[in-house]
Amino acid sequence: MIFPGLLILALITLYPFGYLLVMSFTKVNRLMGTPNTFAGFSNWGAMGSDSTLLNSWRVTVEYVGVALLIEIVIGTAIAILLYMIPFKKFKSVMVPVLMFPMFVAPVIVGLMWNFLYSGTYGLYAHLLMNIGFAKANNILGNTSTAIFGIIAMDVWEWTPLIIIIVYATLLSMPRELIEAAEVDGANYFQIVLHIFTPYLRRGLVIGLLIRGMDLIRGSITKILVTTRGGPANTTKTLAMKIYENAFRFFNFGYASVLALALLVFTIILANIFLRTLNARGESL
Amino acid sequence: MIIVLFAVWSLVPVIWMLLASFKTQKEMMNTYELLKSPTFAHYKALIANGKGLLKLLNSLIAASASTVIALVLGSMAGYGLSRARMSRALETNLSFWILSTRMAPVVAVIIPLFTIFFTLGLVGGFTKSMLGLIVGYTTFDLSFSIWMFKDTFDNMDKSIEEAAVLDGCSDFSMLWKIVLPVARPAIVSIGVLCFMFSWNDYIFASILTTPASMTLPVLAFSFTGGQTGIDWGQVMAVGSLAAIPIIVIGILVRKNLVGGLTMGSVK
Repeated sequence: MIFPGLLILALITLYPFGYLLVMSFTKVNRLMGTPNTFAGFSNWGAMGSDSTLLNSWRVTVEYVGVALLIEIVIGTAIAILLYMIPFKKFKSVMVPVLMFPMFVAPVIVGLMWNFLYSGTYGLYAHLLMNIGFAKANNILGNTSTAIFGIIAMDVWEWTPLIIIIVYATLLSMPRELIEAAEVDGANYFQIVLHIFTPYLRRGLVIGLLIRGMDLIRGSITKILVTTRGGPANTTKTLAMKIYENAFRFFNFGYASVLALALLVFTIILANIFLRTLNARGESL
Repeated sequence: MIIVLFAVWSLVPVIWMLLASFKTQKEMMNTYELLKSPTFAHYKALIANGKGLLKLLNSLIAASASTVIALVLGSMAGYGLSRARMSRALETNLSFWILSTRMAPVVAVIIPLFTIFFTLGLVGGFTKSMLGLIVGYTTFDLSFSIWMFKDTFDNMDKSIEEAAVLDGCSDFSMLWKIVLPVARPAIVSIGVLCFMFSWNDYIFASILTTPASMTLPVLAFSFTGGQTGIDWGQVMAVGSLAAIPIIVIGILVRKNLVGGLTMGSVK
């Protein structure tokens, strides 16, 4: 019962992972198909002499960090508002509208926004220019704005997930608990502090971890179809750099080293996520 | 009020894409013009050379195949894992492996996969590259499906099963006849999400497919590289074709999706 699924999953994930490890110690020849040679630690050592590596880490942290922050703040605010609004009909109309950007493919999101940013006829570019942002005629081509242009795409697509998580967490708050607290003479402030906050905190932790993992996982598609890492490497996340090393320069050995480094971050977050899930019973 | 503003911010890009797919090149130049004389030219061009419909079919095949594989193998493995008696350490390690597989950076998966497929001769040719693509999608669909099915079965009432065991019911018929019918909402949500993950993929398809086995997202992007600049009409038409069906499906079953989108952490 268990084995067909786990066996196939191992075959298509553990085997490639081992392969990635081996590749990180291999000099993969540019001409695919010709035999590869053992490279020792030279791929790993190459990290030391890569002058743009630090920049890629910085861009990754900036991209993931800023996007997370904006999504969490806006998402939580909208979820709390939605929770407090008493109109049931309004809510049932709004929820699908607030949710749907998540269903759009990242590549389509990238293309769609590229169109909105177009200096010649993009809607958002022109709206921004009309309210005085002269730089908006070339959002993705400008070193100071490109990364924020990309972040806006992710905020558009994934803030809905935070809204849904926080909203669902708030809905799971038992009404009786609040009523009992009121009967016991708790004031508004105490209710917020002792009932509202713990529930909200759990939703936020889950949202942070899931979005964090997914942002690292997908810190490439929207960039690949718009700026390709430019201008002047200001949007070259580590994932983009890895893609470029592998599929443009055919430097698979070095790309493998960087991919393993990026994987470590996902693994750390996944570990924390599992602990949070397992602690479900205890924290609430 | 703020909620309505946020809804507008969510809606505008997609509506703008949809409108643009019906605009003439000239109309698109007038930034603020909504839509005066809708044209079907962009969609007709897609149908005319047969290209668009074939890519739609490719997308459908790859996404459906990986979804079916993930549902069949995932429900079995998920059920087995949920009912197996194992030590807490082993369970944690298995969960950890499955979760990190699902969340592994796309580039870290595609690099070894591409190299392995290349050695096996699975790159190039319609059937072969399609096979490669389906395997690629299965890496994240199957791990997701096992994870979600285990979570579903963990939270299920086990008393019917205990009764069935006494009646001499085998593991397989138990899953097939008793457990899965009860878990129908979960099957729908896991299936829809697997389909969505594969349907929406760009990276795997852009590397593994050939011009014949190309999927819709790759086709959409291919119109941005023309010598005369970006053919926005075609990009927006393909984009709408790829986005609208999955948005509709997602909204129809939205209530079931929350659990899946949060890896089961929000019920």
